[in-house]
This record gives sequence, C-alpha cells and structure tokens, in this order.
Amino acid sequence: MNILIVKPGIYKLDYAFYAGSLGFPILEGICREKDGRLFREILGDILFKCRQHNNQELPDAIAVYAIHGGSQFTKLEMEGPDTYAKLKELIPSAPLEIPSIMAILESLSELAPRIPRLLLFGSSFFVDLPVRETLYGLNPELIQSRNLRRFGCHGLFHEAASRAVLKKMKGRLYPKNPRIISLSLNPVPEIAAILGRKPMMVTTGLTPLEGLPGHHTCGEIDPAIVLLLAKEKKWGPEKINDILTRQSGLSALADRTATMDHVLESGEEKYKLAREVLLYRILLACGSAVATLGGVDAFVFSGQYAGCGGILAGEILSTSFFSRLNRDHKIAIEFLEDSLDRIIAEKTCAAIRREKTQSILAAC
Amino acid sequence: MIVMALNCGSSSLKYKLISLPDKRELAGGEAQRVGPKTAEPARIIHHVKGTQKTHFVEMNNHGEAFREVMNLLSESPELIPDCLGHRMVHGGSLFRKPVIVNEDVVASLEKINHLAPIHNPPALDLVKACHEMYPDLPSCVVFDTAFHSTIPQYAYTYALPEELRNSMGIRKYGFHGTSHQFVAEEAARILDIPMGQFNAVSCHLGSGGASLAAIVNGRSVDNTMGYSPLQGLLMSTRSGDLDPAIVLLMVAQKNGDFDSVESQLNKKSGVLGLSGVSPDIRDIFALKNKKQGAVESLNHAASLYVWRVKKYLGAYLATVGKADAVIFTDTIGETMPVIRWMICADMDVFGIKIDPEKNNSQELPLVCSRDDSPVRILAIQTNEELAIAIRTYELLDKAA
Repeated sequence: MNILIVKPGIYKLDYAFYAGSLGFPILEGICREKDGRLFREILGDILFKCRQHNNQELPDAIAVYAIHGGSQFTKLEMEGPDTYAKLKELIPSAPLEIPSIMAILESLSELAPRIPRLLLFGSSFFVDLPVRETLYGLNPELIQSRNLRRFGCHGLFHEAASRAVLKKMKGRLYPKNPRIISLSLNPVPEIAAILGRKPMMVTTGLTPLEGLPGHHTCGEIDPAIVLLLAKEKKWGPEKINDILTRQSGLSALADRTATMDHVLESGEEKYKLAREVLLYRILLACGSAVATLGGVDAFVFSGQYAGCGGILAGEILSTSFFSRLNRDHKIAIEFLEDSLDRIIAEKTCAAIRREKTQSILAAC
Repeated sequence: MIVMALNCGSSSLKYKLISLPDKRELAGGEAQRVGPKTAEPARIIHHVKGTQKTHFVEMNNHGEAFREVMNLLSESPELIPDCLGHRMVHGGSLFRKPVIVNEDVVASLEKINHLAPIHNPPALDLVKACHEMYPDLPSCVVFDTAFHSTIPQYAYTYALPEELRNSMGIRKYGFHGTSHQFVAEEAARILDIPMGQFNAVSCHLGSGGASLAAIVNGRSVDNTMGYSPLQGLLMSTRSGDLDPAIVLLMVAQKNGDFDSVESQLNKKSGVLGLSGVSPDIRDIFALKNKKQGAVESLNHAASLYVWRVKKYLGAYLATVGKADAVIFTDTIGETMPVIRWMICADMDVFGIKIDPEKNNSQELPLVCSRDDSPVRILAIQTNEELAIAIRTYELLDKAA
C-alpha cells in the first residue's frame, strides 16, 4: 500500500511517502512556504514527485497529522462531511495549525479527489485521560470557554510504544494491564503513565509548553514568571511566547543550541546544567507516574531520540528509589525505534484495510 | 530568655511570647484589622495565663499595633521580652539563614521587597518601627525561604535564558520553610532519628497556602512553590501549576491587563475558582458529603486538590530515595484525616501504609502509619511562632 504523510508546521510542510513496504519512506522532505506559494502548489509538487518515484502510481491514502485535535478528534478519522465543522470549532485552540490543515484538505480534495484522506492527531490518545488529570485550578467558565484542559501531544508514540510493550509481555508473568511509563524523547519530550492501553497521566498540558523542558521550550515554570516578564520588561504576549517557546529549554540552560542527544550523551561541562535539570525533571515525572499507576512494570522509550533511552534508563534505575523498585520487582526496559512517519503509515494502512474489509462485507 | 515572635500579615499581627530554651509559651495574641478603618473596629485579642481579653484600639499601621501589644505586656513585668523575632516571607538569594537586624540588613531587605510585594513590605515596616521604638531591644529576622536555600541548582533553575534568570533573580525560592523545618525537626525527634540523617516529605496543607517539601539529610532539596507562592499545589484561591500558555491566553483575553490576570490567578482560582462555592477545602468535603451524588464542581475541586498532592508526593519520594517519614501539618494536614487517607491510599509501592483507625485520632502529634509501614506517616501541629522564637534564640545565643 502507498501512503503519503503530510505534517503542517509553522511556515513549512513535512512529507514522507511510503510505497509498498513500510520499512522506509522512498521519498521525504520539507517544503518551506516561500514567495507566497500556496499549499495547493506545494502539494501538487509533492504528488508529482510521488508518481515520479513510484511508477506513476499515486498514493492509496493520504494521512494528515497534527498535534492538537482538541476534544473533537478522539481517534484516527477518515475525512467526512462533518470534518470541516469539527476543525472550525478547533481554530481558537490552535489558531495557526488548524487553518493549515483545512487548507491542506481543501487542496488535496481538488488535486486528488479520489484518494482517501485521513486525519491523525497527537492528542487523540489522551482524550479519555481521567478528569482529575485534565483539570486546571481555574473557574469552570474560563475552562469551558476555551476548552482549557490537559491534552498531551505525543499520543501516537505512546500508543505505539505501549502496544509494543504489551506484545512483548504477552504470555510473561506480568499483570493483565501492565503499568507502563512511556518516555517519548523528542525535541519536546513527554512522559506518560499508561495502564495497559489506557493513559492515566501525561506531562505536557494544554500545549507542549508545559511539562519537561525541550530543546527550546521552557517546560514547567511558575505562572507568576509570565506576569513578571510582562510587568518588568513590558513585553507583550507574542514576545513572551517567543521567549518561552523558542529561546528557552535545554538550549537556554547550555547557552548554545542543545539537542537531547548532545545533552545526555556528550558528558561535556557546557551541557552539565541542562543535563542535570533534564534528568531531575524526568525523575520527578517518573515518580508522579509511579504514584499514578501504583507501581511500574515497564519503561518504554520512543521518539526521535529513542536511542538515548539506554542512557536514561541507566540513570533512572541507578537512583535509590528506582533501583530498590527494580530489585523487588524486575522492571522491563523496552525501546520503540519507529519514526513518527512510520507509526502514522502503519495506522493509516490498518485503517484503510479495515475500511476496505467493511466495504466488502457491506456489499456481500 | 523571653523571645517575642512576630508574624506580620497584611492587616494583622500575630505574636507569641516564648521562654527559651524551655519553649514555654507565656502570652500571645493577634492584632486584627490593622490599617485603614474597616466595618468592624480594630482589636487585639490577647491571651495570658489561660485567660483571653479583647482590647479595642485604633491601629493605623503595624508599628502602632506593636506599641499597643507592648503596652498590654507591660502590665505584667515578667512579660517584657528580651528580644524580638520577626517572620519575613522572602529572603531572596541574599538571606540564606536568620540574621540580626542592623542598618545594613534593613537596607538589603528594602532591595528585595519586590519579590513578595504583599508580605515583605509590612513586615519590614514593622522591623523598622520596632527598632525606632525600642532601639536597645535586639531583633532577628527569620525567613520562610531560608530553609529552602539548600535546594540544589538543578532543582531551582528554570529552563529560561540565563540573562533573564540572572538579571531578574528568576529561580525557585520555595516557601513555608519555617513550618517545614519545624515539623521535620519534630518528626525526627519523635522517630529518634538525627536531623542530619532524616529523609522525609513534608506536606504543609494550610487553609490558604499549601506546599510540599522534599527533605534529604535534614535539608530541603525541593519545594512545590517556586519563584512565587503561585506555583505548585491547588490552593484555596491560587491556581497552582498552570501551562504558561494559559497565562498568555488570559492576558490576551484581558487585553493586556496583567493586574487583572494576576488577581484572577491569586485570588479567584484554586479551590474557590473550581468549586465556585468556597476557598476552604473543608467546606468542599463537607458539602460533598451533604449532597448525595455531589455537584460536579465540588468533585472537581476535591479530586484535583488531592491529586496534585499525590503526584508531587510520588515525585518527591522518588527524589528523596529512602524516606523515613511523610509529615502532614497546618490546618488541613492536621485536622482532615480523610484528606490524609486519600493522599496515602494505594501508595504501598513507596512504602506508605496508612492505618485507618490511627488516622482518625484527633490527638497531635500523631503517627498514623501501620506498624509494618516502612515509611512512617505523621501529623504534627506546626508552630511557626515557636520556630521563629527558637531560631532567634539560637542566633542570639550564638552571637553572645
């Protein structure tokens, strides 16, 4: 099956094309929005390239991915009559991302009307988090007016990682619903506590800004600091947002561009503070996850920097608390090396196959 | 030595006269409605030798309140203090331990007033007034943040640009330190563990503010409050932890009116904001019990209150490693067994096993863990004034 994946970002569009096998994409790239090029034009180029590289064959399905699906998108969704209405409802929550998705869907419906289009969101996995985990300490009117709740962002990684753990643990002496701490190691890292397949806790919040510090994102800070910056520096929301999302995080702590692998693997003095802060915040989050689950049966590492999982697992298990837990009850350590694109492609393939089977059954 | 511990609120002044080293309370009370006239008259509720009297007297500022308290004390010559111990909420990075008041200290305190604009300025005004009125009476200042000055760099640093952190003093300071230190010392004494080897998580759950402290070898290594008391747990009217993007969203919604957002987050959020009924979590639990099925907003306030404590407790127990105790203190921590129960339930993985019967006892100090619980659970009455008096005594005794 041939699957095209498109992921809109701010002023750019990532894409990957899987043909036949889902091992590696035969085509991938990033298109930057330059000279006012419209999505229609960019997507036209991408589809043209797909045909060029795949014996003139078009994709069997196109998957559009975004992080924030709000409460509207609870699972993978085939584009249908009510998709646009649901997306419109979401615009106030993600004013940059959602209009891009709508523009992409519109362009694709003109360029390749017969190819099924599917929507996948990183937050969908967390839609059914326990209410207590979604809440903020604000008045209900404010919460409801803007749907202010914890959403999480790397749901696809956590879902795939927990599935992989369950598969490996099948038949072994573990509880029916293993207690999994899933660490998605990406430029914005995220930790989730999962009971079997059900998410119970996640570190990121309404946006990926809350939680662990990322490459450039601040992670958890005292809310009063935002007001302090506004008052003392006389900065507006846009400027503060820029500081918190693009000039903070591990890079700010190291005072140079810092990625997770540099910070965790290099051992250089210049990354020391960033490394210590990151490890400490991860330890705190893992402690919260253990309190949430009542224990832990497995750690699973996924994401762009899943390769750092070995170092992290060593660090976590060397702490006094986790080494004692591991001694009393062996904790499994698993890794999911799949890229986000591959996870999306697999989910899309499975959905298309399901759809086809249902069509055949309906016809019979 | 008789120490007078002074705890200055925005419109109140609590005081206790304590004899040390025997820790005997000789007198105490509270000056209420200090400052501009209010609907009810200003008064001092004064108690000495088991009797309580209310004196109605006008007090335009904390200095005047102190003078009236000294007048009351002067009626009994044996109640004249030898020294004063002032509580100061914020010591910034400048004050890592209690100090004896002198001109340099006052000048330095002026410089950090902005870190706690509601609490520090009236307390500093009182320090100055006392010094003017009684220049020969030695005074010490005890800081709420001082106990947390041992929090390591990796725990107090926010992942923000270095220039901002340094130029604006942005870091985690932690609060309620006087109380956390006091109950930790009490718990170590009860469990017969030297304070220097004592590991614990202290839960200061007040009817207003609340915070948890992680304690390793008798020293604070983390606190849920941060740069300000807004961060951390759900509190009576404070939101606690919040996605920074929400603050930005609120600012945009209020057309850049930062004061309004600040007021919303500090005074109209938390238990009050979520429940819409009361800022006091005791009321929420009482109402929940009355209303069968309960109202959704009450359930949300109660469950989020407990949930935040539980998550932080897990986080801090992972940090502490091998904990000796979990300590509950202040109004909620001392008087609400149901909250202690909900927080400690299903925490066996951390070695926490609460005993339901012992937990229901009202007598403090209370050890309410099961006999086979590796981590002991204690409820201890906090006494910030006594803690201030002890620190003052220790400092002056050392100086002498």
